[in-house]
Amino acid sequence: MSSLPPDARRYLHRMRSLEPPIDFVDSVMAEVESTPQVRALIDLRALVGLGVAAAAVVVVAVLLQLVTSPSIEPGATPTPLDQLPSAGQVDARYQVEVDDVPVAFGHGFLWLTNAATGELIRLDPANGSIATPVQVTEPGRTVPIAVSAASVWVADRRDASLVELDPSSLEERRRLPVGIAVDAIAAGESDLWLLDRAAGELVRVDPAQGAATLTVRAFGTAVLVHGGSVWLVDGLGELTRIDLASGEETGRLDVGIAAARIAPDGDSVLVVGASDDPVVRVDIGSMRVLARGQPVRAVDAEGGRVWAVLAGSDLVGLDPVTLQPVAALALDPTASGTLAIGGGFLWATAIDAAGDAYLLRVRPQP
Amino acid sequence: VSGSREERRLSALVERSKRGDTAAFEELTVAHSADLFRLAAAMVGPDDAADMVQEAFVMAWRELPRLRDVDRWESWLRSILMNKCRNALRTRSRRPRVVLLEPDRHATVRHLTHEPMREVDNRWAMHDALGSLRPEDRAVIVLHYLADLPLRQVATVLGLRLGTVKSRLHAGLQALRAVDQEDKLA
Repeated sequence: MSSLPPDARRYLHRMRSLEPPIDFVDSVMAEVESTPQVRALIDLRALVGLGVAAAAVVVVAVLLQLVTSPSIEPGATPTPLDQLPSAGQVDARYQVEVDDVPVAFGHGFLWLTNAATGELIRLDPANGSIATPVQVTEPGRTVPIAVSAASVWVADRRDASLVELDPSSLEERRRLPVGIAVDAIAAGESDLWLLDRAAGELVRVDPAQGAATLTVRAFGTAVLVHGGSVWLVDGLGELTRIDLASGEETGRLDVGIAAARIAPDGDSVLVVGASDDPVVRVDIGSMRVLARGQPVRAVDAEGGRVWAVLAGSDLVGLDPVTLQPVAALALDPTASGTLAIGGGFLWATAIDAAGDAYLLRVRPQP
Repeated sequence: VSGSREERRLSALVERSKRGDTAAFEELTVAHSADLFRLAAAMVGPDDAADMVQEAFVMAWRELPRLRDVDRWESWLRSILMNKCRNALRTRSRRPRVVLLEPDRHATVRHLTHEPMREVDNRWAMHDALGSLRPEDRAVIVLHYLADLPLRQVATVLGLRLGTVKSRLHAGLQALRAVDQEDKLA
């Protein structure tokens, strides 16, 4: 405790001596006794003795519950992955740097970033050719990127600026000083939203004006513009919906996982945890949890299809309703937990036993 | 040896509780009440701590069948509690979240990010020495310095990257030292 100022040290020391009220456990248990536990599945053993018709009704109820009542953690996977239909096939493999991560697809290119070097990499999906990597920020930093209709935007921590790049030439068009350490960028139709995690700021930038137009006080780990709102998730499990025009909070939901990433999917957003938390689908209108799947390392969605990379190196197609795997492909070499969709392909990175990294181009099964 | 025996005992209690055994859950409540109460007290003040912990226990009981890995029980329980405390702090000192930009907007915004605790609790006559901290930084300080959790475990409880926890710890300590300096000057 030596690094704490004396006042704070005394405060915490005082806390160590506190005890809960003497009847505290009784009080907790009184409420526990009257609180039913949530069960993902009805215990079918309780139905022994009932007639066949009644059992059938219960089975239907169980199935409905599985669909409509998502669980904090999913039950056992109904079908082993190796017995599922193939999710697709790897039809090309490109050697990349270990820290290259596919993050976006746009303007006909796959865009990768490398946090170790602070570089942006552009890959042509047609032939796998890589343009000369562009140093966009300092090494050792996440490279925030957003692809808008006309440009690619990155943030440069070296001078706290937002940089507009020409996607074709990769030349810098503009450099806008924003004065914050940008951790993530989300592109809307006409604005960009910049997240500074440490400062707890979400800044809206109007590229037409070349200036910031709004600052929202908001803590989060990832940001997304989707369905007419800004979406923010944080490591304590909250999903916040923010009005694009006013910056006012219009909804908040505890999704129950330590959220690290968020992806758009039609009328929903998919929230992914930092470690082994399940992927969660949330309806963007009602802000109701529609489904909880199993833990994933990366997820992306396009055209109503949801794809994910699991911890065991499997690339899986997820049922859009239940978020359970319905197709699988064991990636070889071992997947490193990244995924992007674009150009008709799924893109994932993998590392072999020798430590060489590859970008895998997967043609999904129709 | 005794530590692992205690861990096995707790794991068995969690397993039994998952199956609806309230007696087992009562033992878990007894085992964790004091530590959680102190955490909550450091976060939201002693007056509201019991409510926070009770809500956390009841939520844990309700959701326990869905906890797949019983070894995560303690960090899971702490996560629930810290989430509730953070929400309580937010609700308590909710203020406008939108700040229109001015030339010195970032200074303004940073000032507003502080969410002071409420007035000093009279019953305990205790000055809230962490009151200048944001709830996020406060959670890191409390878990690290009061619960004595290594930063890696703090990251697990709060669902953050280790680097984020380190930066929040740094920011929290800086804020506390700044207040300390101001007090000395005053």
